[in-house]
Amino acid sequence: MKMNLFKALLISNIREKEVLFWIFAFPIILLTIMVMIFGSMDGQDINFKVALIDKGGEGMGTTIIRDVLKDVSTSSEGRKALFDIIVLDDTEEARQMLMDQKVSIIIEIPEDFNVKFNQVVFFSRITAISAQSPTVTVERVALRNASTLASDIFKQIMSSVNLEAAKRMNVKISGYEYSEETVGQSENFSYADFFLAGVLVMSFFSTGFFALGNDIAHNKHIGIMKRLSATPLSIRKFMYSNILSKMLIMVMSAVMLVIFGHFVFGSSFSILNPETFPFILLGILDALAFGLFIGSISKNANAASAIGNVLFFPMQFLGGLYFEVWDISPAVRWFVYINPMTYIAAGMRQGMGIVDAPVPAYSLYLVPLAWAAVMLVISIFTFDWRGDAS
Amino acid sequence: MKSFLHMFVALFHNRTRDKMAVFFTLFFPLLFLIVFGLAFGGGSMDGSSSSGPTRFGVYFDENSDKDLHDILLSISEEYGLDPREATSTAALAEGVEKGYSGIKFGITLKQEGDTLKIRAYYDAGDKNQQSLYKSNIDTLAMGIVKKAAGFEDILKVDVKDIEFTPKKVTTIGYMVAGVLAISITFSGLMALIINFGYFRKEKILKRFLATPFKGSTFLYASVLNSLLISSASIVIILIVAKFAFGVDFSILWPEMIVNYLTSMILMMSVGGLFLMIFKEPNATMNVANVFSTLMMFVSGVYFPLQLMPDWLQTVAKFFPMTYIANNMRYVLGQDTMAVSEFWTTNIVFLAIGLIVIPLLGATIFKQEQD
Repeated sequence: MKMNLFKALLISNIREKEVLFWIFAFPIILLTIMVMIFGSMDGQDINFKVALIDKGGEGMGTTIIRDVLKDVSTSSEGRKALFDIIVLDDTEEARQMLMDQKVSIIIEIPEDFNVKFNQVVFFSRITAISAQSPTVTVERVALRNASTLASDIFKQIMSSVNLEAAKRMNVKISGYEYSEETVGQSENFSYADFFLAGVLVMSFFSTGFFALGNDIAHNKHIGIMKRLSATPLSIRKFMYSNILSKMLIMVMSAVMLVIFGHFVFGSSFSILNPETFPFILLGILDALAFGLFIGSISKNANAASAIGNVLFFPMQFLGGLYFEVWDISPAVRWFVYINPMTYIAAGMRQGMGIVDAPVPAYSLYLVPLAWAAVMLVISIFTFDWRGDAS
Repeated sequence: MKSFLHMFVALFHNRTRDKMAVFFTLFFPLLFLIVFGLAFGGGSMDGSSSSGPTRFGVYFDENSDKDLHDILLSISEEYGLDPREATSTAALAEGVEKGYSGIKFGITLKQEGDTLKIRAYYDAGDKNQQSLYKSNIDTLAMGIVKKAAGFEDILKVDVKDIEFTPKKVTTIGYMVAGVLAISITFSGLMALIINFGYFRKEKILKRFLATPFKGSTFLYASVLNSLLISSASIVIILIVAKFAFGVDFSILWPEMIVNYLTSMILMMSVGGLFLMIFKEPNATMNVANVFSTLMMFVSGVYFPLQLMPDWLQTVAKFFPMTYIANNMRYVLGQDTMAVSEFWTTNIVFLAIGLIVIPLLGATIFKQEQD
């Protein structure tokens, strides 16, 4: 009897186009969007439009700067030119272009550049008389990320030019050796794996919040449970079957997502690691507990949907599903730390060997478990199958 | 005119009595503003900018002399960095991983003969920022070795921050413009799908056509309704941004109104086009949702377009939200743009809307009559 009901509910859910879209198709679409955007933001294609006002005339100093600018505005094999330089005579015109967002920064080589360069390089070093350094002016708009980045990059380029100049002037400069280490991960970080975990958690919770929560509220509102109570079928069995069908839908959606991620984006099967498994279970448990809670406290599907959205939106964005949130602004950090999604996603990624969670291991289990317990207790006390009639 | 007013009032009541529609139109964008505003807008409620020096951890090898320590401290500020000293390599690695004291990356410095050995520590979770941090470390390393040799840079760079806006722009103010663009995009896209798609599905349009009312009355009353209701959402967001986050806007009101109207009309026509293609309102709504989600990430609202690969930058040029967000920053006084570009985009938006919306109305009513 219970199995028949479970099968009927499962089939009825799967036949709903909305369920098919939001629970099966949307996670796949979201994973595709995320991996395509973030996976390709490696800085290789980075390019800025730069206005150059060159009043420097001919001389050694300006030749060095022009060579540098020529170098960074020429594309090399497999790499786009860093700067597209637009040479202008008029400062006002350049400012207008910066104002109109036609360029990211303005680089200006002043008239006295060569004079100062010669004073610094030749005379002051010989005569020990201090001279003013030749200065290139960069104008930027600080709140435009592209403008700040372009000016930082130019500063870095000039720093390396200075280093090279020092070496050529036989200044005894030590070299430096650079090495790096990434902490808190396996050797092979992959955006596909990183987002797979996040989208999986999103998929679990959207099933719990919207499919289960709305379902329960809707069934109460239109009196399905009341009608069921007049049949030999118990409401408890109906609820169990409903919950079980949603669980199976979550598992089916997860399987589809993992297979899609693997074959399309080359994500690993590390989501199936034994260390990840407890967090998959916790994700399902919490999603169902929240779904029961929403369904219990809502009078109808619309109310459930509104409550679900109010909770789901901040929980998913401040739960580290798509980007790291541990050191986010203190004003909302408390929310990150009480949010069960944060711990489930972090635990999953730790289990997959992608990123270690920066919190004690026990909290990864304890916080989601505590939420599940609280939500279940509230649901038990607030759930009334008679709906409005009560 | 009277029939238009009656239709407008009826549709207005229909929409405002729908609690879900009110929630999604008025309060959802507000939720968006609060979550993203608090999370990324500096975290303060005073609207101050979040841009400060980047904190990093540093561990000096025990054999390092004090000079290295002093040099690092003295040049860090110059490069917009703020060092925090760690007691050991292990503490540094742990600090980077757990983000202690807000550090974004870590370095260990060790002088071995003539060579300065720098080992960088990055957090795996911050993968997409790694190239930026590496460039910070490179600059720092070059600065250290030059300073240690007593070499003063020959060629200097003087960075000047230019402000074109009448009032000081803050991170949160900049973000509000993006939130408004998202709000307009969402409500514009959904407007005709709700009014036409669901009314058609529920056979309301068919019944309506059996009355003396003209189809155009319904169409333009629907459009005006959506424009009015969504404008309430814009006003709420602006009020919250001003009083809760302290954003000081310098709004160009005539441009703001034009931009709002044309952007909404454009997005309504895009929603209408989706409805013509997909017919079924739920399916159309889903497509519109996916389209909005995609636009949200690829329109320069959250990430600068210049950081995206070429193909995505090309895609962004076809997304209306890219232009709506840009225009919105301009009309709120949060950024500048070419005035000609502002008006051109608005004229194009309006032209598309004026062609597509009547066409959509005519097509749907004709289908219903047939």
